[in-house]
Amino acid sequence: MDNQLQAKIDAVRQHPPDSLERRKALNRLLAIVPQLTGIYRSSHPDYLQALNLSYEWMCRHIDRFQARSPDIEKDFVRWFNGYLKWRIRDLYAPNSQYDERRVNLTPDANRGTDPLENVPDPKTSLGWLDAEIVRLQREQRQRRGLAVWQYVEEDPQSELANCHPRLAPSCNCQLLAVRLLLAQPPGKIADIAREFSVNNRTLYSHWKRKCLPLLQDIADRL
Amino acid sequence: MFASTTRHRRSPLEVAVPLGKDDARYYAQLFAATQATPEKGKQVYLNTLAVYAVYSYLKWLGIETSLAGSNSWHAVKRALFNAADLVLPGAGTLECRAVFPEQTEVTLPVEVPDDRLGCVLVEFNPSLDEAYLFGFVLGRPEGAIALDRLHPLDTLLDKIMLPTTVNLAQWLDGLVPSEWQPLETLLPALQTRRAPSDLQQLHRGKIVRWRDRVAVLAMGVNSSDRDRVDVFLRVYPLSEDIYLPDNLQVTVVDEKGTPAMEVRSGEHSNRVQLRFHCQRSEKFSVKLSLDEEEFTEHFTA
Repeated sequence: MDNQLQAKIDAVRQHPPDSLERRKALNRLLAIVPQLTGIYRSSHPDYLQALNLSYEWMCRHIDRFQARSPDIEKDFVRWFNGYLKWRIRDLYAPNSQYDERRVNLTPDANRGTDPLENVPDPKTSLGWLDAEIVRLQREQRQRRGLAVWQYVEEDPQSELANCHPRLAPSCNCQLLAVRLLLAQPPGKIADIAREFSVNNRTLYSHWKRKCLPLLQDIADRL
Repeated sequence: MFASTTRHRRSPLEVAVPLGKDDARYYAQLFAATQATPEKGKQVYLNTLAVYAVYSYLKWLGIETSLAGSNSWHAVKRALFNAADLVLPGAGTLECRAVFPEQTEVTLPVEVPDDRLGCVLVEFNPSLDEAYLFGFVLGRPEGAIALDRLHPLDTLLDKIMLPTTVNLAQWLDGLVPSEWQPLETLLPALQTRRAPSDLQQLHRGKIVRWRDRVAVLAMGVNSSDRDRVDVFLRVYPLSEDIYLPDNLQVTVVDEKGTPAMEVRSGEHSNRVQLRFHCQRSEKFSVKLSLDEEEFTEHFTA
């Protein structure tokens, strides 16, 4: 892993910042960082946000990393963790306040802190999300999304109803919006075309060229 | 919290983006809460996480995005459309689509417009606190997208950025990018031969690194008349090595991508070189390949 890590870091550094080539090289580095041994893990509530900010910091400051020993992976992980742990303590301090040297001189704080045993069991399906969303929605007094759907269903100015392919007045934008956008799961244009005996391509074209812009327009106004 | 060690990765080059409760998941909850139905709420929740993950990744790379200008961040538009877009000002709009581990293909919703740069594919861990950007498709495919036949994330970068092109004509005016250094600095031990008197050569070099070998690409440029630029190219070993790695291949590729000339190092080469001329403003690239690793530098004459 050491050779690979050093090579990947070098590959980033040989290109100027913000160049395409550097960014591609960063992709390779980003892909292996999570797999390095010893990257700090924690169940602290701010951990994830701090980790996200640490990746951003790493990308910007990779030129400053200096391996101090032949164990490049260990040095890199310590360098990364130094910032990460500082960030967890304060999500909002400016980067200029981070003193790399001060942090790295303290003994390795990995031992004994935040063992993974404290981490709750991972949820194995998204069923929990459904329940969570029901709860969130119930807590809202007014749901704007609902108001938008009601507007489409009511079509108070008949804008949607009046927009239809010339030879198929019943296949109007209101029907299409309800069937393709509001219905869960959404319907298919081919099925609607068959149901109303309308040419598939005509309906598709009407949807793309007339309905969608009209809906965007209405959404801008609402 | 992290199932990343047990997760089956879709691609060796995927990027894992952490999703915190006060950033990504805060927005996802906020947006999902106001939707008409729980199903729509779930769609918005996942779309928001996917968009935020791509936004985050691009931010790490210093690439500008506009959440505020995206349909996915517009209250009415996300309520109406299955919106998972991310605007890149000046470049175009990306789709950011969430898929599940068992999925083998995905189809974009009918309301997604045709003018898309492409679509980034995103998967999550079961607790939705980590997103994995694992692939990219170009444009806006109409039918089903097979999830095992995607481009890597690099293709996204190729699509939104132009390769860095070195303007050689500017070297004659003294405008040289800093990573191209005078050869005396890079190769102090090298005894540079006296330049032939009919050429005023401007030698600058750049270090090229492969996995375990290093070399110096030196370029010289001269312009004897307004429309013609003479290019002189050499690859030297760095001073500690006496010879170049063997089987190093240097290819000059024209504007259209066709190889125009090539040279290969032998077993004990201490340098390889190529000379050619082009029209002013003509573009070409120099490809340096060693084993399977390849680097390309782009130039304008």
